[in-house]
Amino acid sequence: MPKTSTPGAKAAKVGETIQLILKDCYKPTQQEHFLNGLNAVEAESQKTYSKSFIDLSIEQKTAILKEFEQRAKTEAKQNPKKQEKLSKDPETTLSAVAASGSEQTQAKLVDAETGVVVKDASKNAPLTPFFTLVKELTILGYFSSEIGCTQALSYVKIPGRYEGVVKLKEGQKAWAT
Amino acid sequence: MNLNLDAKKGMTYDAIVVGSGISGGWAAKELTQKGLKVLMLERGPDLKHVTDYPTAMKDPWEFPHRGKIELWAAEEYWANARSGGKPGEDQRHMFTKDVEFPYIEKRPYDWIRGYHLGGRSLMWGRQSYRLNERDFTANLEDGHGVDWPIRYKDLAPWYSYVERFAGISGNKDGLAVLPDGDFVPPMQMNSIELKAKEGIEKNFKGRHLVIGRPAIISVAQKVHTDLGRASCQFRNLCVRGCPFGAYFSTQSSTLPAAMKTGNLTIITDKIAYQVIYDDQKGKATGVRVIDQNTKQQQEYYAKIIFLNASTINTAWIMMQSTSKRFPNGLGNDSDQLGRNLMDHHLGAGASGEFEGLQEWYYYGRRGNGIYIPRFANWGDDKRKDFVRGFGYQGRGARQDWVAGASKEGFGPEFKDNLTRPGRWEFNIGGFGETLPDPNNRMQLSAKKDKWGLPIVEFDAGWGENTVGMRKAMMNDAAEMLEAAGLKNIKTRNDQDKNQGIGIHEMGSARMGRDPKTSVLNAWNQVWGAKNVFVTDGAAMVSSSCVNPSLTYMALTARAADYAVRELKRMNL
Repeated sequence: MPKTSTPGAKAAKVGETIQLILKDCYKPTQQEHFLNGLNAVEAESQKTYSKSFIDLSIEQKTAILKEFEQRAKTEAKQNPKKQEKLSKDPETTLSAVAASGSEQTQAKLVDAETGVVVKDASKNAPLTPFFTLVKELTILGYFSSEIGCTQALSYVKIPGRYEGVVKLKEGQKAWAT
Repeated sequence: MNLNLDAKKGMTYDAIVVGSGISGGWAAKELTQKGLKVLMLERGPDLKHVTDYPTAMKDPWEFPHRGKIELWAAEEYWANARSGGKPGEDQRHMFTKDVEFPYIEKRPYDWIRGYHLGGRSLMWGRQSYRLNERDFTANLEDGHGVDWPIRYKDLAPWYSYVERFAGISGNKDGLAVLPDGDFVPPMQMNSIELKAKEGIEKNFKGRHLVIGRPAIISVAQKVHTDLGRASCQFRNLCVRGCPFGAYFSTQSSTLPAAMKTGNLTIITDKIAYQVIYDDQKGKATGVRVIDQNTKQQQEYYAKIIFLNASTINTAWIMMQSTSKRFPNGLGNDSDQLGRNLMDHHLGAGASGEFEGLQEWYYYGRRGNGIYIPRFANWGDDKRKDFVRGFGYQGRGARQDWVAGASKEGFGPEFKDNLTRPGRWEFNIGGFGETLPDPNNRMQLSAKKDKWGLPIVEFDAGWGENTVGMRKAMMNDAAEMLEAAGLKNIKTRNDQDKNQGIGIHEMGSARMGRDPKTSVLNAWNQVWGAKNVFVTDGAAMVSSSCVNPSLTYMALTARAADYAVRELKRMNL
């Protein structure tokens, strides 16, 4: 979530948000897994470029993150039960956004063939790979921030009405919520 | 001596209403408007309209955890945590902290509660549908449970009556399966929902997609503005409490109406646990309570008593109300008290994506979705695998940043893509009818809570009939989405949810025609204690597949009208 035509994650203080969420909402095993991931990124950076990750060029950073995106995929494959989350999963959704007046879905692991949700999956859920989690929390932290809502997206605090069919304007941004 | 008499007089009302949720609020409104002095008892604390909705006006970034649930909250709200985002910092103050109010699960049960003035009327799903004619004859037709002692025509005028006051937004769709009501204007569908409607109705005879019918005043009428309610502002933050009073709740609607009469007394923090039954008089004389803070015991007296403590807690009170006449609990000659627990099973359905309609979007956030009324085992659509049926709730929207986590990539282009409206998605999930089964029950356990009152023990499940129904809920959903032209269809049949997850508990003190097989008569009077009325979900004889709260409202208004007429005839 770099700075583009709109401010990036740094300006939106996403780092602080991620730290807080990790500390309060994730179990110690997952926190540790995340920290190991951070250390592995630094180690990879030292190994390949003999520099700290923070001092790398954009191209070098991108190359390393691509590597970790691959590693996350491999790691996910080793946990065959782990499927991608439903897009309306409230764990990745502000509850304000989650469908209301409709069925609510919850964090769950779905067997792709039968559609059956694996019972008690959350109790023994495999750890989320580092890259997957950092990406999810960055997206959440950024787009739910004031900058994300009001600059990257379009936020109307009190819409006052609902119109179901509206012509999309050229370059119109997505609604924040 | 005189002092005692005076004291008793001070504790005496014409009527006592136990509970302040949807049905309790209605009972208080109806009884006070008919001139009765009414005491409303609430076990939880006061919760004031608007000023006690602390998160109602907050922006997304004002919640430090951004909708993620803290570990401590997931633990302390352990039952709520089974039902989505309820332990989140934006709304958990509306829900009961489960560690403080434990219950026992012989079989797992999801009991989602709100112990405060207004009860779950503040956090309900607001979907409001009438039962149809066949819902009232379903038990008679297929032999499950007992026959309803009333028919649709008995309740129809009361549906109209409560709809006009509550303000139900809906379209008159002209479907026998989903009877029309007295609506305020319907909300609009968006482009994908209109597309799905067209595809489904063209390809499947007898299947319809209509706009949902929520208890939200899309356009406030005089009856609403008179109480200080305003039209919906389309923020879709209903669960935090509506500062505009746009959705029906006790606080926004029935309470101000009842207060206007000058006949209502509200006492909070009093846990009603027993109806006092006079063996000589053959009727109830009052209610015993315990103060949740001071643990002080107290009795209140009245000519009539309405139990509206919610399906589980109403039965819990009745079970503790033993007397010579009723050694097994008030009105429990039939041994049906606490049995026949029903709910709606959900979590089976499908979602899909649509490639076109990219030039269309929407404005505003609608606290409502679409509805596909029951079609299975209706008309010509006979099913072999199950009896009864299911409806779907759903909605369409364009993908947004939330979908980003499951998309590949990162960086500037990835970010900018997430700032644009993505593909259309459409998602429907079934709500299935469950059958009354005496083996699905709740009881008083030997364990006691911190007030020395027995803790509820659940022993209830979904039942065999839901197995085949759920497959149909999933497959029929996929088939309709496919016919509507959606792609990448994902189906689901979630098996990890327990009875209660629909938060539509029903049936623990059912109505009936025979005191040997039911707890209440056709007017919601307790058999053998005719001045006690039960008009919450406990009274339900079958579950239908539609959201039940509107029926509780109608049953309550009807019973209150009857109660006051009977009182005037000196029959109570």
